[in-house]
Amino acid sequence: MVEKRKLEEWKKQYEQIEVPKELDKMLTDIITKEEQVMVLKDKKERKREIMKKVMKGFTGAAVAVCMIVTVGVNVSPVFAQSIAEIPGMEGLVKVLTLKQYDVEKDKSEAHISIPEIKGLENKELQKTLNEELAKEGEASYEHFLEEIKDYEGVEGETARLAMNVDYEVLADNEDVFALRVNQTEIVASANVETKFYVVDKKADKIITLPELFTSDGYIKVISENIISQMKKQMEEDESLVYWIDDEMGGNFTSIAKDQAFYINKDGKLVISFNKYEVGPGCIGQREFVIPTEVIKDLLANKTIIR
Amino acid sequence: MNKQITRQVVIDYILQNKASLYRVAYMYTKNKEDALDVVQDTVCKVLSTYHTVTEETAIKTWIYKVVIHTAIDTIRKRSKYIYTDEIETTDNEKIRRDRYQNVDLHEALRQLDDQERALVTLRYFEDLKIQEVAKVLDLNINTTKTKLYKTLKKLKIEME
Repeated sequence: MVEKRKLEEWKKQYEQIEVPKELDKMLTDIITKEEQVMVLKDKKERKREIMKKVMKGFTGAAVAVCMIVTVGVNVSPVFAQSIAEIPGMEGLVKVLTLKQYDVEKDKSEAHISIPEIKGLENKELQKTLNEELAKEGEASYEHFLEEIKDYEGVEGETARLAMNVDYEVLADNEDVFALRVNQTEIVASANVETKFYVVDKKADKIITLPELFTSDGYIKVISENIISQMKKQMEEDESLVYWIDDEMGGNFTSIAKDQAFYINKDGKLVISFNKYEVGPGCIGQREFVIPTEVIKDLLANKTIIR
Repeated sequence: MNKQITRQVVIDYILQNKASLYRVAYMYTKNKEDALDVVQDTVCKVLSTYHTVTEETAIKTWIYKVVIHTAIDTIRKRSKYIYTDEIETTDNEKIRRDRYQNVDLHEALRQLDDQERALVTLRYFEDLKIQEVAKVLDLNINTTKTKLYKTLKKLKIEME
């Protein structure tokens, strides 16, 4: 029968689909990584261990900067406080690519975009932000060059490192300017570090999460909302897993006081979690939009968040 | 007495059947990079949720279900890229695309929808029993047989 022969022919072609050599290493990597994750009883310890592995190779200085920026607070408190405050302004803020590194060496590659902000009326603020962005970008580039040395002379498909730094303007209006900088490093699997820069344009300062609220009550309120969103998402997608009900303990119960966040173009508060913060690596980074009614009674400023 | 599902049992299954997982993913993504991503996501999900599977015999159909679900999700997310034989790049990604090695196979199956694709791949390329195919796709056996038959007809018509 023509039909049957065709099927057999296709089956042969199917079996000839080449399985790449990287597959083996990738599988062993995930299995080992997940194993290491499971072995650590305390979830916080888990996260710290994984962050350490992700950070390996960073030079001391870069680690210091990264840790200050990523641990919840969008920019370091010291940094935020040193910004001079000059009253009100409007204006069009542009974010341009100041510098673009495109590097290809053997099988590794990096694409690092260093953004530059133009048009903030507060030039001091702008200058400080740009200096920080440039410093971060250069550090990523240096880090890539360091790491790539480990790959010199290594043969085979698996010897590749990829780094990507890009940015995205999340909001730009009269009240708020929010910028996101993503650093993605791929060694077998991808690790993404994200930093947010959120500027209160009217007050001319960089905003930290606690400053948005009149009391610490926001922590509980936001956490509860996020947990209910997580439950709903898991119901809708059975392959999605959040650590909220794990027998192993160490479940997510609360955001950090200075959890990573930004304000989106609709004026909503968005809470961001890095990979491994609230679930296994495969769910990646997660974000939750917090409905304004949930937090409106605790807001210090009722115009930034709508 | 059902053997308890241990992590090792799941890992063993994955490693023994990695080629199948990859190929099933590839039937949807049609390129190597995305297929690898799909397998990676699948393994990760499977290792996080295996305690929901109650018997060892169910592992096979369950893992197939996850890989197909993940593959479909992945191609939907990436539908902003058009898969042609030409290589497309964006500002910050270089995607290496391999040309279809098996034009005949992909050409013929191109017209199938996600479920039809799964039916043919699972039954005729992965040699699953009809009951197993039904389980993977969450259909009853009769529906599975009917849909499979219709799919074959569709393919045959196209071939003429």
